[in-house]
Amino acid sequence: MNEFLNYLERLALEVSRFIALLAGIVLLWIVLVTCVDVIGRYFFNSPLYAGAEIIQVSMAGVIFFSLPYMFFKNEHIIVDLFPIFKKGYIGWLLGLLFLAIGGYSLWIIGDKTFSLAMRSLEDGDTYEYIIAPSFLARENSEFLPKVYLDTYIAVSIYFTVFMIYLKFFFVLLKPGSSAEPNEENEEIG
Amino acid sequence: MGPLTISFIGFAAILVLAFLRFPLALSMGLVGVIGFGELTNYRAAISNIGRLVMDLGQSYSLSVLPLFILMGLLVEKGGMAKQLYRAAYAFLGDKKGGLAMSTVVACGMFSAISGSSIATAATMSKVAMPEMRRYKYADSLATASIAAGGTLGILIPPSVILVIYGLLTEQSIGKLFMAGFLPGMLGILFYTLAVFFVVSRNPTLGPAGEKTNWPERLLALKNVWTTLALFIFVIGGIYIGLFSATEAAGMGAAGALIIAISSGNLKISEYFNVLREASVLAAKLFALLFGATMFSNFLNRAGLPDALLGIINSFDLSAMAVIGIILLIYILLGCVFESMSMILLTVPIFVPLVKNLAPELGLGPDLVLIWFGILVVVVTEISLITPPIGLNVFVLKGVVKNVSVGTIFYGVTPFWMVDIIRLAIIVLFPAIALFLPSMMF
Repeated sequence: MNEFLNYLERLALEVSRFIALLAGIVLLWIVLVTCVDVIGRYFFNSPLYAGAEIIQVSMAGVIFFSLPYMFFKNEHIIVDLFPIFKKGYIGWLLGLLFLAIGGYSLWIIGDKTFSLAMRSLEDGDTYEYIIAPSFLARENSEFLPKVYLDTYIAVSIYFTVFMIYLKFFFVLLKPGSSAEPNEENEEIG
Repeated sequence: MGPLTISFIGFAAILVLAFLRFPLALSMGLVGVIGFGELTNYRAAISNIGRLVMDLGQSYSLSVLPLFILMGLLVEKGGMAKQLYRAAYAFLGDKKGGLAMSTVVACGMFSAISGSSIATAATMSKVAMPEMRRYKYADSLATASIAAGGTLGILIPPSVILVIYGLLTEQSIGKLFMAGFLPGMLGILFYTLAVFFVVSRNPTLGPAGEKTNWPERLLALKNVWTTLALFIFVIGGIYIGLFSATEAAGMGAAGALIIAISSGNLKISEYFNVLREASVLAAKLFALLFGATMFSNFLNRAGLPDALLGIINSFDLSAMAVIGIILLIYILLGCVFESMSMILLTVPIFVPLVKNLAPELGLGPDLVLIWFGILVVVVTEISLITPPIGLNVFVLKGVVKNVSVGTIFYGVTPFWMVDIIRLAIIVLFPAIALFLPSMMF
């Protein structure tokens, strides 16, 4: 049973790592878009069309593809003042509490973003410059509807909630373990 | 309940959650939403959340963060720190305390690419510490020069903390970068003087290294020209108005990628790791900004900025006295808080207050916030080497073996003192920070 759980945990970690890698690839894409935009502007007198908006949309990829890995690995900025709250059963309980509250908070955020996505569908909101391929565009506008990205953000948040509760489950089954990753200090000198 | 009481309860709640090791972003976000909900209604508080996530998650200005982080990581993993250290050593190594001075200068040069103090301290400790131990440097001086030099990472542009400050206060990131440059150079000069002072009192703490001849010096410089050129290209580009901060970050990341590929020091898998690391860091900062904005909305709704202003007015204090009190609070908070937490928790409280002091200080509302941003970063630098938390000291403790925290804190004392002098100079002469931004194209 333990082996199976460890296997599941590793699998979940690898999946979130892969998704975070997609975030990295989107980041590389932003580098490319910026370079094409700047070089086009100065050398060819022709900046990239909708460059700034493409970067805005891509940023959502960088952020929301990274969230599941960030939460699953528990990579947060923490005020590390009292190590007593990190170790043993206290650390374990607080870790579970954080995962429960964090997951619930993110669920509410997911709900709010999903309702905004539905509202943008109803209102027919579109981006100002990005032109959509014909199969994504609406009948009355050639520009990319906002609903796709808004829905993607909501789904990413729901997926992060799923990963948080998966993590909760793994931590719960290992009483006394920490929800935080092991710190490996590399010593030199 | 008055605004001060409500804000104090909110602040205390964040501290309790933070001390219980709840992530800072969640602590600030929760308190912000609950506080705002109690003051207005929960429907309004929660509806804010969705809009904020959408706006912040698709923010053009926020893209500057992962791009500069990527640039720094590529240069760091590409092994440029060693070359920078060699170049500084070639010119300073043969003097008493020269290796420690070289460390400070190399930290400054590394900071010109990396926006993080912790990354600077961790990277430079791997490069400089073995050399200083080889030359029998006292651990106190060796570790302190790295811990202090590392703090320059958040001041010399590009700086992650200045970007966060810029996003929180809606100030030009390009101008903030320019404002950090001269105080950063002043930091290098003062830290070098601190080393000089230490070895003048006790030369055995930092013996001189071997002399490097001019052909070797030129060769060392040749090895770092790409990194220096990247800095000049990126920061110079912002200064002369060639790029916006985001464009500069993108071009800088592309340049760093070219340098890393041409150095051949990184495997394909390491490129993937760097890309992932930069993205996850950006997501962490996004979460923090989200939490800080929610907390800031709550404080504004509670009326804290006006209440604080009322108190200041009732004491009839001069603007400089108020700035002095704020900086003192920062120095005290720096004893217990990690740098990013300190900035995110306090900037929403102090910025409206400082903005109101602009006329009395003889500065415009934007310039006063740029100057204040630099002051905040300098006190944050001080907090990184202030006991008992001093994060950079603990980074050194984690990376260097057989050295106690007490030894590092003892060694860091002269650097801490010159930092206080530097802070006083920047307070008294705002032009040091504001000269370059006011000359920007």
